[in-house]
Amino acid sequence: MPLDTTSPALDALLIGAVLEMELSDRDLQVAEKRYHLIPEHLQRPSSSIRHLMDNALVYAQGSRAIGATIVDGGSDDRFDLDAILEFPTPVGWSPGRVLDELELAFRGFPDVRAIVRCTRCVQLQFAFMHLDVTPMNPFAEPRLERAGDIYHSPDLGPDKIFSVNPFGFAKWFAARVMMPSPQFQMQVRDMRARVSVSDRIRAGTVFADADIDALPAPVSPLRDAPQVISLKLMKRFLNLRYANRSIKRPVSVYLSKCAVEVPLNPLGLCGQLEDLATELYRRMQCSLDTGQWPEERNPSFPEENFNDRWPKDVAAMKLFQQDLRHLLSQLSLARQSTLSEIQAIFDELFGERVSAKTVRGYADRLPAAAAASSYERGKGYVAAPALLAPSSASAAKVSRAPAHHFHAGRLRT
Amino acid sequence: MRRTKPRSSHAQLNRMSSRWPDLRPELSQDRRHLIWSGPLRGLQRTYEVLIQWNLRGSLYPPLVFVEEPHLKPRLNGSFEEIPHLLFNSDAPEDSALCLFDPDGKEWDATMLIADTTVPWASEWLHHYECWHLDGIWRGANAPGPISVAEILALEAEISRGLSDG
Repeated sequence: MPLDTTSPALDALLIGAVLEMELSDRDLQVAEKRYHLIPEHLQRPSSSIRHLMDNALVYAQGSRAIGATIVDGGSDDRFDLDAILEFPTPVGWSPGRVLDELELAFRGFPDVRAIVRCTRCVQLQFAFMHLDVTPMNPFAEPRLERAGDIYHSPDLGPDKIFSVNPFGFAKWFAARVMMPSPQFQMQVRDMRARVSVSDRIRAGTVFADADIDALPAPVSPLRDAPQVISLKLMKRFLNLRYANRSIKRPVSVYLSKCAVEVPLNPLGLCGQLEDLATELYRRMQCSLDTGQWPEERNPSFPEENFNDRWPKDVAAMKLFQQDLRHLLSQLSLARQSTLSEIQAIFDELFGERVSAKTVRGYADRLPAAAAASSYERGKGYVAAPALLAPSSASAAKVSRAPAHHFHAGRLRT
Repeated sequence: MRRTKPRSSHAQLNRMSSRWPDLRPELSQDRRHLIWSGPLRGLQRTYEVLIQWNLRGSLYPPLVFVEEPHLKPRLNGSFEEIPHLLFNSDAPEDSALCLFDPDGKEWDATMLIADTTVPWASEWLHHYECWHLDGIWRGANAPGPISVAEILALEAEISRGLSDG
């Protein structure tokens, strides 16, 4: 445990970093519009799979379904979203054919720059946004809500089918997330309002603004939960670590499950992120010690193994541990660092652009007028933007010092 | 009703030990000063500070010195540019922090050091770290120059004005 268990300024900086990684309301609206366009496009008269779309269902999965979407940060200013497209597999179609036909049917999708047929999905690449559409064959009724088979068709090796239930996982996740105190949520909302997240997708370049403005920004209330914030920070950190590696990174759904299983840390966000890193490290170590491969199951559908594609080997687990050790040591260092040093640490952990805007934003929100200031007994000053404690029951005791003005003069010795 | 009687050293010691238990008290060798030393947080890191209070009382406000790490100017800057110091020209790194406006009577001996000087010193350290980042002091300033560099510049300007006149 670090010397200073509370970390109000560091927590404020971590929140600031997460807000810089978020999608703007407008970007979320554009993404929503694209979700809506999927069935419309696939049902158009020239669509080769039009006849399969009568009862098709499209819905968000992955980060978008659990409030954990962030801008990638590793390569460019892009964000990745996932959707499930449910429709019954025509008799005789192999997994490979389903994916091939879907790829063909997506041609001409509005504003798409490239369409890539992947192993399990079809990726629609737009400026600043990738949308992975995974086709799913729904189980016959009666079925577990939105459970079904997805297709796996690699370039090398045989086609396969995997039974999954991402919708069930998102529901389980939402029910399990521990929401912080209303005061904490309000502070995050206030900070967000002042940050003004920039639009990645510029106004007027994609759809008519009226079309977009008509849609509510699909905002998940989960996004401000410390467990979800720690997940977003972990994902961003890993995006950067794996940006120049050719090996597969730990899958998001595995990280998501672990993040929500780590209890809410009442001491703050830095502690929450440290707890997540420590827990992931422990799970890797347990697998390395026992030889039992990680096998996180979907709690709502235990047949689904989140580790079916990662880790591939022992080296992948050891590399992940090495990254986690690095994250923990840098956070520990940040707890005892000056603002300039923290900025350098954040540059490396979360990206320079995020880091510079975060630190500048923090400093600029400090009150300039003399006012009664707050301080944590036995520790020190707590700046107004940093009064963040996820759980009011365990918040540090804060007292007030009278208003004053700093002065300058000469020391008389 | 506003208090008029100065705080006793006993009251200062008691309050300090309850609010800032890590600041250890001792009497100076000449027995004229009460000194507390120990850790105090700036923005996130802690600094070793020394708080010196003249036992002769009300004319002498407590002085706060940063012991570790030593104060330092910004890159390519000078000590004189560090805002809000009681500047020690013989040993700039031993300057004290200038935490209140004497003209505004923001501190007097009726006040408790633990409730004023110490949190103000921590706030000073917080702003000092921000200042190191971009050269902007974001704390509340008393009217007038914010650093000895500005005082010196003002004095030079006045002196030039006088000689020109």
